Amino acid sequence: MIEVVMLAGEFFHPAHKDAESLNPLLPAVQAGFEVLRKTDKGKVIDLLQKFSDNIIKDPSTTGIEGVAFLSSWLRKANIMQIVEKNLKDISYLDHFVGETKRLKAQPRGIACHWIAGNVPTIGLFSLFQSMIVGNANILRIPPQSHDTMVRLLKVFASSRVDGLTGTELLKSTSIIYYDRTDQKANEELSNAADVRIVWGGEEAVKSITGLPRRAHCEDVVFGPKYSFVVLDREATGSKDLPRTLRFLASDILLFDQAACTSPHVVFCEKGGVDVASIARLLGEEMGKLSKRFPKADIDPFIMTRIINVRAEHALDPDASVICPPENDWTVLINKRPGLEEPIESRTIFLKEVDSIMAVLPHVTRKVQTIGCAVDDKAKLVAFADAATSRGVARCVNVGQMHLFDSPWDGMLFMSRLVNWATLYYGE
Amino acid sequence: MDLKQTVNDLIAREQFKLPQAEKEGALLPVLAQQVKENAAFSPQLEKFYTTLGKEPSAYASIADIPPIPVSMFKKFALKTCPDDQVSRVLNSSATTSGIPSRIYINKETALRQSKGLVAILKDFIGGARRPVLAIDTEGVNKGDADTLSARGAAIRGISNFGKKLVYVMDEKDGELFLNRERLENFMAEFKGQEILVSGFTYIIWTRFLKQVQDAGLKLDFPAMKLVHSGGWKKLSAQAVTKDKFSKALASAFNTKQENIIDFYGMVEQLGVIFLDCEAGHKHAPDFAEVIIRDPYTMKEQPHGKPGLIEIASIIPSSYPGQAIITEDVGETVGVDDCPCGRKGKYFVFRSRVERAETRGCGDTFAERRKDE
Repeated sequence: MIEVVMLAGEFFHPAHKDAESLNPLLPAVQAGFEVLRKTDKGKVIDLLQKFSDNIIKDPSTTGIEGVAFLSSWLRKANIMQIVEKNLKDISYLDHFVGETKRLKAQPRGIACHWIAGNVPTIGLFSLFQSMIVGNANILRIPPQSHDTMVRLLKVFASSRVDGLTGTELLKSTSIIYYDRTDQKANEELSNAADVRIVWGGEEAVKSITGLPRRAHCEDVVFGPKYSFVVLDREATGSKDLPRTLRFLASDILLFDQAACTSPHVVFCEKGGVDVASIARLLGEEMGKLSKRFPKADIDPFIMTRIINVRAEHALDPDASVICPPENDWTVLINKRPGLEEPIESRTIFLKEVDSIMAVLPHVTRKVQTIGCAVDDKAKLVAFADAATSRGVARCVNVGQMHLFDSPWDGMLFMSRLVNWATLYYGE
Repeated sequence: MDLKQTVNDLIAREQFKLPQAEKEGALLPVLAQQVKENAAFSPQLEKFYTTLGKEPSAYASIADIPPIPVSMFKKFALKTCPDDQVSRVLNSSATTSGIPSRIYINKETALRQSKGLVAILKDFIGGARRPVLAIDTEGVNKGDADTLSARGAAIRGISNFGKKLVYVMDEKDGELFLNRERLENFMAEFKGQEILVSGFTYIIWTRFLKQVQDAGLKLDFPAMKLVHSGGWKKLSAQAVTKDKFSKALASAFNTKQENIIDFYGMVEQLGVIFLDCEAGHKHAPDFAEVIIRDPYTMKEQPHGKPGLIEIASIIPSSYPGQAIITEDVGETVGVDDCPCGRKGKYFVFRSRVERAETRGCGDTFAERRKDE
């Protein structure tokens, strides 16, 4: 059974509409696709700018986690630089460009998105990039994100620029949900796709990419990734350390540390402030942030992992733990080399290293983002070059780990969502 | 206070008689003193108790003792007595993680475990020794005598009450088969008598009961007691409830449903088991305590709110079992007022803690989690 949360601009939430099959939903989405195809893409971007303004003013969306970043991401200047990075020029979306050999970036058709539940707003980053290039969109979104998505999309629906409304654009979009064990629904969605966009962990990615698909269908996979932080001795010895740790605390707390961009380990280079002092200061910052943003979602499974890892570090003579009595934030120090199994939910491991370069052997292709507080810029460039050659996609400032950008996971996402079409004619 | 004498008295006495306040008053000083001794013996434990808790002398309740997670017995050699006093190291079966727990037992602990178990069982099934039918293979308690599985532990405990122990299943190529001849001989010898039956819940349902029914065997033991534990996760997935299980087994043995008794226990806390009373509740004996903790605040949950099950016990003197927190979920139902008449806290077991769903692109942990 498929639960329909939104179909062609009409919302069915919280009381969703049931559908036996995906096929009856497709004509409405296809009709919306025709409307979107004819819409000037510059106007779509203008409407996203309006939406950006509205979500930070509208009381129904202001409190949503990540909404401030979403708003800044939706700004016209940012979207235009994404379009230009991916397609060189927005005009490729609206008409053939060039002389004799003319090029146009045509939409692929229907983009089907399998969205993970860890970051409630991630579906919008996926949706809007696909919408800008003119694709129709069907998103399978986990129930825990429905409320956030609907609140935001209702504001989008009511946004208006020069006679174009969000409702009009959403006619090409549908949001659905079905249980992950529903093979029939999964296969229907896969078969409907001209492009499959998969966000998720290993299990989800494997099961979705293994579904039958049409021969021309393109796959874009944002699979499971791991992130960590390096602090060099100049950064830990600097007067800016409290500010760096404040930013680090924010990177740890956002999205309950379940995003691919969430740091799990901090490597501290010896020679600056000692790791125990960094741990204490970081604990203070995490404590302050935790008071402002209490944990919203208590997963007993993760709580038991926190209980276990705290006990493990309290029992290990070579390790230590700083934490409050409740299973909120936890700072752990140990001497084990390498990365750690993520615990999530505000749990961070600190390790001392002789040099940040000593971390490189532990970098695998699973690592996506490295938050860097490296004041020695020559060292930073050398480190980033070596890390990215091992598969790391992003080396960014601490405090900016979650800034969704293009490229993402090493991919120019939007460029994967178009068919480059050519038109030849001369004088 | 003569600590050892107090412990022995609390274990040996008639169980489930102490009202909660009296029980807390009796157990707290004992447990606090034991924690203090543990910390004095082991710098590792001292680090644990001081990092995650306060001074034992400042404990205002049993819930103030920092509990050691049950999984720590897999990671560390946790001992509270000198090596030369360890008479046995129990290795729990490693069914979930692949790593066994190691529990260090000295003679004193072993004796207390045995006495504790007898004291609890006496209250539920009476003190008379009687024939025991073990619904398992003899192999479950053979081989390495220091390795104890949850299956084996249940049968060993019950066999303390046995005057004759008959294992009714055989193992062939990893599968369990009913040995019909041994069962029929047992029936012929003890028909109509008071007997004890013990086994692993999942095996009883999926192997024993099915094969008894398929063979059309009619068992007739109206005066039996069946004490079983374990495997509820798999049974729940097959829509087998406790009520359905008890009804089916009562019918198979021609006895009343109240004679089918589920219990909760763990290898890390031998000597303490929690049997279902007539009202369907599990009771902590006078020498042990159950604490249901809020998984976030770690504070004790009010009645009716589910939380992580912690077992506190005064039995161990060779390992730090004074407070062990599990990865099981339960909830207390009440205190001192169970219709069965037993005093103290009573609770129900709910489930193992399970992860809700794979959480997304940050879930690199999923790769290593497959077999758990």
